[in-house]
Amino acid sequence: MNIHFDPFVLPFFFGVLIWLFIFLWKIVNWIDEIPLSQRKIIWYNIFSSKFIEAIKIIFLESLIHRKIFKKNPLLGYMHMSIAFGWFLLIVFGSMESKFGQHDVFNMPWDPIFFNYFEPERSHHTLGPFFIFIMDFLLLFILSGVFLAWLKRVFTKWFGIKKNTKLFVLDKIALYSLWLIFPSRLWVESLNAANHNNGGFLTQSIGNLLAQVVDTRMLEYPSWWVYSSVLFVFFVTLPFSRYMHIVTEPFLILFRTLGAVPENEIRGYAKLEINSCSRCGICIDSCQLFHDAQITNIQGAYFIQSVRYNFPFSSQLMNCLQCGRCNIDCPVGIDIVHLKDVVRTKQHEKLPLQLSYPSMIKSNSDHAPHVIFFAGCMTRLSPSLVNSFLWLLNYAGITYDYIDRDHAMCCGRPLIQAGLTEAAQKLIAENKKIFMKHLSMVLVTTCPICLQTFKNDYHLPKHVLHHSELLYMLVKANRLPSVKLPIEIVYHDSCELAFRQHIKKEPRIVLKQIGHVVNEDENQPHWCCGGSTSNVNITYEQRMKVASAALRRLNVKEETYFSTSCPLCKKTFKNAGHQKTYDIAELYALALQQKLTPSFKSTKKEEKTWV
Amino acid sequence: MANKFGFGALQPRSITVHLPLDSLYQKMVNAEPSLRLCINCGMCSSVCTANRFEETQFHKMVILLRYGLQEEAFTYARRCVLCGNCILTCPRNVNIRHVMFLLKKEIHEHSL
Repeated sequence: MNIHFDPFVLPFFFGVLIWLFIFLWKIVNWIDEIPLSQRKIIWYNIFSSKFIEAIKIIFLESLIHRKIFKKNPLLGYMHMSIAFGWFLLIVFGSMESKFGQHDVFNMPWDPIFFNYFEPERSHHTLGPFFIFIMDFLLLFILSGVFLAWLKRVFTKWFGIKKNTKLFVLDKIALYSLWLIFPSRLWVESLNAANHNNGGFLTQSIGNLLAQVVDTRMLEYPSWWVYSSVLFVFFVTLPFSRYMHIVTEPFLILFRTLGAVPENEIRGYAKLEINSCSRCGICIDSCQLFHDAQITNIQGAYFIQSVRYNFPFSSQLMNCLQCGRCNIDCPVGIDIVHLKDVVRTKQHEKLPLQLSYPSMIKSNSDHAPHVIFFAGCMTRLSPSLVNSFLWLLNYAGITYDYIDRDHAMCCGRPLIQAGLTEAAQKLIAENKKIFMKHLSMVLVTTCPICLQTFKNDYHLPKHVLHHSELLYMLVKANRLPSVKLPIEIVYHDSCELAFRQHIKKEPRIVLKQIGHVVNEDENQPHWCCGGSTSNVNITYEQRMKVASAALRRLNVKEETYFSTSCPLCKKTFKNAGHQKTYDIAELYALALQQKLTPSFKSTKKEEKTWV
Repeated sequence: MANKFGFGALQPRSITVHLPLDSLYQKMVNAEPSLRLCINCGMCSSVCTANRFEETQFHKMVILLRYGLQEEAFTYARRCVLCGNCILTCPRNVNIRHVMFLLKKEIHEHSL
């Protein structure tokens, strides 16, 4: 056995060695950081059908890029041709070199520089087949690279509005990736011209080149260029966004085998951070980008800042946490959870010194059907409280209105800003009050409170949103159906639709009183912009987001616009001239026969900001 | 360097000699320019959740900050629960919650 060697293989070889060493070191560390209990589950699941499922998902997502295809076919083809094409090129290249040399354990550089070492390719086993397939795959990848170039200029063809802004290492890696395949085509064409061993692509280009340049003189330096480009790519790979190529399969594997996100930036979270390819799809789905022209805070930039320890306070706090990026992310990174974790890490010690609800006295020895908690936001729109209580009386439901006299805070705004320690104080006090009441059901009109009651309070009570309770009352025929000739557009609030997945119930309630225009609950939700998660957003930006959401939902002045969140209601009221109601208000008005189909609202003057 | 300064009916105050009195106010205005628009009307305090339990008055706090009475301002900032009711009612659309949040951060960073 003779070992093929030439000095030009060294850049490639060292590049691969450096990359492999760094990657293995990182991945072993990350796996080590996953807690033992989870690792046990992962080990247990390796020998189950979940492993096969994981392989299937890795094939579909890492190679075929199914989710990106769904977003835009051209963008999907671009990603697939480079990823899947390169994968096949490696597989067939290795097979060709192993067949050709009749040696399974050949050198790692043999498949890459096979044409140089074994110019008589067609005489080997299956030679003509490999010559064709390698050329075909190269053409396949080059089409993807060509599209990648086009994407830099004609971004809109690819269904996205703006490319991610890259930083230095990403740019070096990107340019070297762009150069790898053209340089391979160049050098293989020269090789084909000299040895007459090319396929349909390389041979024809080689023949052309032979008439223009001195192919014999150029071939050897070109192999050096090809190897050096590979070196640059492999060395920058672990530090650039292209780390996702090798990290993403591990992330999918662990996720499918049962790893779950923790409340720490370690282990699984680091896998997520390194799996982000900064493809820019989250930028495209961000409402702050489209409507408020805030261009530097999206998920990709946030993850980049966390990964490289850039300052990230604006990326962290200037976010609506509406979850649209989570839904669209092709890698399935839980960006919202990552932000929650980092916010907590940054701000958990911030102070709160409030001698809190000592004033609230609960004197409840009777057990009504439900406890009603309005929440601070709902108390700002008294008509909502009155309508809901009217409906409860109408349906014959008895209730305890806990915060009738004093507004209480559920603690969710503090949790969203990351002040978990402060929030725990409020939660402990609130829990005492809730536990003094005997009723089993806690109803709230505020989705923000609902989220925290369900997640952080661990109450031994049923927690319901008022739309859920109304749905139950409608189903139990306690509330009558009055079909009025009105058109209603329903707005899914982020907390309710994205976090609690309550989309069906409000629509069924609204169908009792009129025609719901956006009946399909699988449509993407649009944030009103008023989310308590965003501390930084200005009033103007909030109004821009809200009016854009109204535009997207096709809300006209004469349609009834319904939300089930007091905060959304308040925000939308300032953003347009439509008739904005909470679903409880709308239902109560319908039962009181106060809704008129041809009702025209008096135009309010828009708030101006000096 | 802080020195006891002044006399009269008011409590003795500590001031930082090399900084203007409203240095913290200026810092907040730089971070949140809409604070400049505050007309101290008191709408925010009327809906404030924390104000129902203990005195938490943003409109007053802005004046305190301008006068350099940082300790009193911090007492208010410590009580804020960041519920955001104030920004829904503010007629001048001041991002009050951001200011409160920044003050909380300021308290924590300088362990005041």
